[in-house]
Amino acid sequence: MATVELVTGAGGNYPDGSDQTPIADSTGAMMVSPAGTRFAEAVLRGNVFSMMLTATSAGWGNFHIETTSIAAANVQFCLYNPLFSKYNLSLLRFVYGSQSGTAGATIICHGGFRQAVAPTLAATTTIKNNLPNGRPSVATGFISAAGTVFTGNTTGATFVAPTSFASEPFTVGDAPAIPRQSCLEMVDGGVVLPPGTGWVPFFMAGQSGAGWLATLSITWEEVPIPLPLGKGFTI
Amino acid sequence: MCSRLGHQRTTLSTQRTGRHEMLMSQKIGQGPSDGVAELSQLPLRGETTGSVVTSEAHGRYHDAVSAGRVFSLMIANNAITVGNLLTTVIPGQQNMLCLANPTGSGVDLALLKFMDAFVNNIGFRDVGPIWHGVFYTDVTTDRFNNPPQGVARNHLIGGPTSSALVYWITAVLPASAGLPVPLMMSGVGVNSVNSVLPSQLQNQPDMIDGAIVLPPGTAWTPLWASTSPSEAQVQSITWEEIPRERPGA
Repeated sequence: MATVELVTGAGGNYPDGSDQTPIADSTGAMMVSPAGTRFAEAVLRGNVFSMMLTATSAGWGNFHIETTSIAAANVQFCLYNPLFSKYNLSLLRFVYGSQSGTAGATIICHGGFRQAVAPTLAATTTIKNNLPNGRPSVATGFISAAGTVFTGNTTGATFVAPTSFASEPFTVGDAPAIPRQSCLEMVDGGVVLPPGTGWVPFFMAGQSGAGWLATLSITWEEVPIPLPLGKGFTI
Repeated sequence: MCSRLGHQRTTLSTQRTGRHEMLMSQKIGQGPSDGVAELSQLPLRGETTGSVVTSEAHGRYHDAVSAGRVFSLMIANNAITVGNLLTTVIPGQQNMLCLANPTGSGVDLALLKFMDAFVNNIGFRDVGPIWHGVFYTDVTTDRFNNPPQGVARNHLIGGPTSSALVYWITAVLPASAGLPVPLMMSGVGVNSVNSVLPSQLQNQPDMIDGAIVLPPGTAWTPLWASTSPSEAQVQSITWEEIPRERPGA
């Protein structure tokens, strides 16, 4: 067995083109320096996508509320990974923007569901590759105005309950005088959608708002998965 | 095209150990200016002090989440009106969120993110920050007279269930519960003073990022220095379950 070794030390001021041994810290860990951007490599390979919901006239109560199922007549903002996509969708960024009106006093959460068949909806959205003219996404995005029926799927199956994940890092208060805080959450791969699952943002129940205008966007990386499918989940 | 092995200098190949020990080498520089063709073999690239220049393949948590090791729990709206107080003994009558790693679970729980948010504008915010409280003993067997009530969710949608036990206790704990003394670990990134309405506060998550690890037989709960009535909160805790290889884990 060959053991690859590093050297400990503060390093030097080495000229370009020289061959040097990588340095390690006092615990033996290799010292590294970021090459630059966080996501440019994935974007340049055409694997990062986004979709957004532009300003909607929906009232607060027309977004998904944390209940036992995804309501049919609410505003839909849903990312779905088809069963045979061969990719995991690794969520990178989620943005909430409040434009006017009064939001309910609660928070936004990530919701996930499993469903082997893609949901059906009259209106779908265009998924944009973050690399202009990049390949199309394997995912399906759904957006709609309030009142559009989100019927589940063509076989009549229903959604499983949304699951609660880490909350958004802000609270939407109910005092109109308080400016609404737009928010970016760097999910950074913290939620992953295997094939046959989907994601929706939803709100905790119990509060109400009025005349609320909001925008939403989600960005994700499509990561090829080896076969057989990753352990631990069934459809 | 150059071979990576060509940049590894063999320094020792001892018959004493039977191992080949090679000193790793890298090429110092800015990298090729014209880009690199697919399937090229390249040496490691170093910057001028000798550290290796790296790039991230995916999101920070993608690998752990894809492996099904990351979980979280969010407690529902208005669930917490009074938190665990930062005192020597947790009173029995508290609504409490508690993440417990039972003895024999076989995993360590590395806490990643804690979030506390206010959901009404009725009461004033508590004075002072929120603290991490850690039980150094197993609280899952005889300390709580309530079964686990929360459901941990896997961040790999549809992934395996958690090994941890999550307590979301709204019932009155009996005086005999005798909870261990929690220990302060670090302040959570939310702070306020009294007479400030919840809606005037910007809540920030505490990106713990593994700074607190719960071995089997320990537990965690958030703590307040004081509480005010009528304020409603939601909380979430996110953690990674790291398998223990050591015997007796």
